[in-house]
Amino acid sequence: MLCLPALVCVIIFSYGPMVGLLMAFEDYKPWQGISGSAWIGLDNFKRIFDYEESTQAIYNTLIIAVIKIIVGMIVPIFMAILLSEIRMMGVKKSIQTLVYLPHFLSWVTIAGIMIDILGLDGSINHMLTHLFGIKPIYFLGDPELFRPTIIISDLWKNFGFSMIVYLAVITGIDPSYYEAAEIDGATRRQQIRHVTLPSMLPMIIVIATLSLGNVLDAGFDQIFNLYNPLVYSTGDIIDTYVYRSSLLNGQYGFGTAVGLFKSLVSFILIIISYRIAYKAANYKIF
Amino acid sequence: MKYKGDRMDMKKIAVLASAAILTTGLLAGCSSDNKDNANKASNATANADAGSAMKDGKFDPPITISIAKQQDENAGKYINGETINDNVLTRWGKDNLGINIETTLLGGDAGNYNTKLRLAITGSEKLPDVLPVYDTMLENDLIQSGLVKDITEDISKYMPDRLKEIYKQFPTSFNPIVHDGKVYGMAIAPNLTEGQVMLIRQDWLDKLNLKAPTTIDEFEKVIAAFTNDDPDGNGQKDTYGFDFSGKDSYNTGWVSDSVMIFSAFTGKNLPGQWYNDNGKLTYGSVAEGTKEALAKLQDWYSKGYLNPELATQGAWDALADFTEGKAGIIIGRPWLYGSIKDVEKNVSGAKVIMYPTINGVNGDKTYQAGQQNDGVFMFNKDFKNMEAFFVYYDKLYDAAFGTGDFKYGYAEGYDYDIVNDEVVFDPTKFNKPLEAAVMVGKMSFTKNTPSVDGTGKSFYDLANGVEANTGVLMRAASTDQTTRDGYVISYENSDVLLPNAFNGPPTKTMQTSWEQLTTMEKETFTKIIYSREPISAYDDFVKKWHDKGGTQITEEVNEWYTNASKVDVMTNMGLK
Repeated sequence: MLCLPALVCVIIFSYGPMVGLLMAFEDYKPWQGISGSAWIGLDNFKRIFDYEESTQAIYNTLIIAVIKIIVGMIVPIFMAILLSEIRMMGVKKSIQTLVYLPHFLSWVTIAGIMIDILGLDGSINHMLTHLFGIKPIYFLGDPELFRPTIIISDLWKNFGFSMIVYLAVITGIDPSYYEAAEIDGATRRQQIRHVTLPSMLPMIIVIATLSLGNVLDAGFDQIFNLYNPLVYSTGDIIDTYVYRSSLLNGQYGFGTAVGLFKSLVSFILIIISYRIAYKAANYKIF
Repeated sequence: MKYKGDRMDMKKIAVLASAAILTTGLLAGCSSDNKDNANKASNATANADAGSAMKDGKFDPPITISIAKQQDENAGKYINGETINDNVLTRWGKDNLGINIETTLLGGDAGNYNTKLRLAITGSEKLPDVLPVYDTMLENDLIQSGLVKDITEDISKYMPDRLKEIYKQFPTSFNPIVHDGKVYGMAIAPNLTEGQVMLIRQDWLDKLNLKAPTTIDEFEKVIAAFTNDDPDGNGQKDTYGFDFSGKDSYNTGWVSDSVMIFSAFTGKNLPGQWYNDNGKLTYGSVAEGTKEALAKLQDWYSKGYLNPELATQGAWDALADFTEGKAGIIIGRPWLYGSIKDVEKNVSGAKVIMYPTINGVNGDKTYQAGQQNDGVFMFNKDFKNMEAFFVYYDKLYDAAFGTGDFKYGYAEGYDYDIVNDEVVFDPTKFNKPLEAAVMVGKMSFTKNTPSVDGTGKSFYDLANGVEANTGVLMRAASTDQTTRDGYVISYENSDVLLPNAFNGPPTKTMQTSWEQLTTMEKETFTKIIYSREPISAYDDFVKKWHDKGGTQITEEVNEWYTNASKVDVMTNMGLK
């Protein structure tokens, strides 16, 4: 009885707007409203797969997002373990702050800096020419190099944030485990393998499951600010593609269809990973 | 209130305007049923609504007009504690015209503003009386929704003559808002904006004994020399000839443009825009000659004559190379000089001079995109005070014509000031110095201050010895000489400016396929220039473009044009 107001709120504000999803199946015209617009069934969804540009975009999204997720999982875990082994608090704290800092910068800012330093005449190329005597590399204009550039820069910006979560878990491990391991004669490396990692596992599973939901999110802000016609073939993702095509046209139906499609895929993936986590690691997330 | 004509060409307009004002005074006592007399002097008679009549050029009781507004430069910069609904201009309107302007729908950036207007269409927000709309799709949505009014008659009846003279020059600006022979809006302060000129490092030209290029061959020679002959004399090959941006478009229309090279081969067909070839609209990027232009650019790029990073730099980012003294030629509107003149500080001896753009291969001038208006006014179908709107709108033009209350600018101490009996435009020299002038002209329904200066008429007049006695001329006279010279070139070459012939809402096939086509276009052009694809890729592109919807779109665009120009709306509006 007491939770009734909250329940009503949830229904009104969370489930009510879902009526708008109907737009995905309509040729929506704002002045005709959702009930008045023409019903066109799955045409909007067909459009997503109709054109070679949009299927290419879906493919690019998957590649970029999946690699981002994998790299974005492994590196922070690795860094968190390394960092937790540092005994000098000052050094530890300053490294932690330094790698965490870029997380607060917006992509617009970072993209501006990147275009500058990754340019043919930028500092990175200067350094490379100086050290190895190679020709300047066009990082942002080369379809082959665009994805790695995107992934590495995303990693640089964001790994500090996930690292902090893992660090917190490591700090929370009961010291008596380590003591016991030490008495048993375990080396530091063995302690990491048999104490630290297993203790982190639940958190790793939670984060992995949640990030699977992002498998169709390759990072609009980042790519939108960095891509250009030379790298459309490898860098154009669903979000940038939809942005370009619906900004021009005010295509509500199509936009909603893409949104719904993305949520659906994420939903299915989350369900699957939830099951796997439960079956394989006997861990219930929700 | 008194009008005074200042220049010969304005005399006629000024006389008419003064006549209008005089009539107002005479008729003020009359009753409100003499609407028929009002056909000439727009602001002469009473208002039909609510018995509010105009007395002594003022509405009594006062009228309130609600407006929609997309935030402009003034946002957050109002001085003297003023706000969007209570500022020097709204107070002026209230006190002098008896018209209150109230902003009831306010949007931040373009996207946010459009969303709010769309919400207003669905009925979840109130639709204001006056709606500036900057998006053709939205214009079409509003017309289709039946929420905006047909103003054909209002224009013919209430629009003051001096404004009619302006709108007569821009018949195509009505195309997007004509539907079934009815006119549902009008361009916001139409005015052909200044064209682009060629900015060249004069010191480099002099050092290498070259002259400013006027043809494509001369241009090639100059950029080759700028690249290979060490124009900055530092013994290193670290300069290049032509700086432009290809990230977003090869027809930027403002700065870092490359359209001149295309137009040299294609004439009036410009990449990314539609050309009206005797009533038939064609798309510029697939026009004959584009291939030659791309081949030229490919050749130049491979020889190092062009901005090596043109694909990744946006129009504004591309300026950097010029400002740092790495590039010799850039194209932009005359005010660009103000943004790149740092090069004269950064590099000792540097001197930038502006020249007209080169001629095409057939000896004709090269053309470029022209802009004639930013958005249109539309009106709520229940709005009854069109007359009052035009009175107010006409007053805002006083600053442009240099007449009436706004001879020098809109408000003393805001966008100009009088210091020791002298009119000053530099805000740092005001009686109460400001960091930047306040844009009073944008405080009501126009996002851009109305102008009748075209592509730089005031600068042209000054150069021909006209005395600077109005705000517009004085302002022009207070800019630096290089910029002034640039505007004179722009004015003398106004005929090279081509507004996009298609300015309607996206057609049916455009909605589904245009993005694929543009993506393909940008990709192909850029890859050819970078030699990632051979020049023959252009032929494939043209074929694919037509197959994947281009042919259909061309048909639809022409259908739209036929519809828009079927009825002679200009005559119906009294604009012939």
